[in-house]
Amino acid sequence: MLTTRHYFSALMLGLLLLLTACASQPSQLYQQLGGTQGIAQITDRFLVNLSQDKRIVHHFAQTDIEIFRQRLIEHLCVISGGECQYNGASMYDAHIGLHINQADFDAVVGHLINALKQQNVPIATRNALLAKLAPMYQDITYH
Amino acid sequence: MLQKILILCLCVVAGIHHPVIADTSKVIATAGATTIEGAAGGGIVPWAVINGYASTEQWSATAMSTLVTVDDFTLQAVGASLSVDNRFEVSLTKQTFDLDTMGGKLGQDIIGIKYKLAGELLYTSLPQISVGLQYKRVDDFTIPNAVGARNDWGLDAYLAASKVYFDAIAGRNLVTNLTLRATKANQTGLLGFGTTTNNDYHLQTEVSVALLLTDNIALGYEYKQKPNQLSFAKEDDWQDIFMAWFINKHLSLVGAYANLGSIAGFERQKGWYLSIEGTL
Ligand code: HEM
Ligand code: HEM
Repeated sequence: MLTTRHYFSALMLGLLLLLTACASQPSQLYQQLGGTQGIAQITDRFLVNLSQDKRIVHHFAQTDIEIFRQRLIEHLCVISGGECQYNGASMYDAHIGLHINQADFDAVVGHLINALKQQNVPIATRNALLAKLAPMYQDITYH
Repeated sequence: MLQKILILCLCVVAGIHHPVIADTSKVIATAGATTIEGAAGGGIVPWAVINGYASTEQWSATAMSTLVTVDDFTLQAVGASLSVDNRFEVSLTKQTFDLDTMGGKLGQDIIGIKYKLAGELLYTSLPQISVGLQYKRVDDFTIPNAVGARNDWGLDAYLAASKVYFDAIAGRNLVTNLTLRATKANQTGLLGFGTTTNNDYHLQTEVSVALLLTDNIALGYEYKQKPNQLSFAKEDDWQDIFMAWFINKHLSLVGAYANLGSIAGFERQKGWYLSIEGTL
């Protein structure tokens, strides 16, 4: 049908005009996050956001924040393809018995997005990182 | 009357300084927009997403007002919805359809419910899957009756699957949606349900795709298949291209260019769609 084709080509043209950035290569993700230094800054902003959120901060009442910070940095480094070693537990084991629900997870994702924005990480890089974190939902929630 | 209440709701909900703000957690834009039938979705296709920003153990309310103006007709929809737990949604919508060229008007009320069966839009490889029901009743059966409709009310049932692909196209996130609907409605119910000779359900396919150009601006396309059963005039499938702007978690705007095809003998009905939504 002519109209369908018309709409589709208009949509595709729109996409081409509006988007110039391109999908990131996974091994470059670490660089795009600013290396270890960038990841440390993102983590600190994330922890500040987290500490101000009454909805979820209670989960971290027993947490040693300095160790937690270090594990988060290592974890983000490893999943973004950096040359680091992660010394923490698996995502499943790390969150066992914490009774984290979807609202908690949504809130953490929101804080991470905000931390990435505050750090001026471009949208394509943010989305590439979210693509790696989102599937951890099943290991982290409801157990 | 219903319209006045709904407009009042919209004002209250859109008033960001209202004292009772629901404490909600869902990520921006994941509530979708609201269709002209009241369900969370695009403009004309319901998605599997649940309206509002309530995650588990939270609630959310929305109110919307939508105007669609095509060559010979104007459709207005006002509605409100309530959702709990990012699981269940109930919506109430009033549609008025002005026959600008012919004179007169049609209208219907729609009560919708939606229940999330499985999957999580952002987090599972399985798409989010929801089932929905829409009870529709026309305001005045005179015109639908005259053109051969059988009933002044009908029940649509649909199954919707929605999924977000992160970093899908040029680093942007892509929302995809497929909806299967069983319906007897003529022109979504504005011209009644079934025909004098046939009262069967028709299985229709609806699709939408949207690309999140930024965190809060989506560009999308929708296609809605519709039955073509009244003999007095041809009925076409609907489609539109839309741009949604989720200004914040309390206010969103959707603009679209819609092609509604042939309606009641008037060919090539194209025009603009504008929707404003408030979320609590
Ligand atoms: C994508 C999402 C998440 C990632 C990548 C993540 C990552 C991590 C990492 C790397 C650790 C350290 C594990 C270790 O020390 O062995 C950890 C621990 C922890 N996480 Fe998460 N997490 C996520 C979501 C959440 C959510 C939604 C909550 C709850 C609101 C949460 C609460 C905790 C708590 C309470 C600890 C334990 C800290 C302690 O006391 O040692 N996490 N997480
Ligand atoms: C608008 C044009 C393009 C689009 C829509 C696109 C889309 C994509 C997508 C969706 C992925 C998968 C991302 C992921 O798995 O996280 C990808 C990966 C990739 N793209 Fe592109 N791409 C485009 C242009 C390019 C160009 C021009 C190059 C090279 C100069 C390139 C190089 C790559 C590489 C190296 C990968 C990673 C493959 C891998 O290791 O898995 N892309 N691209």
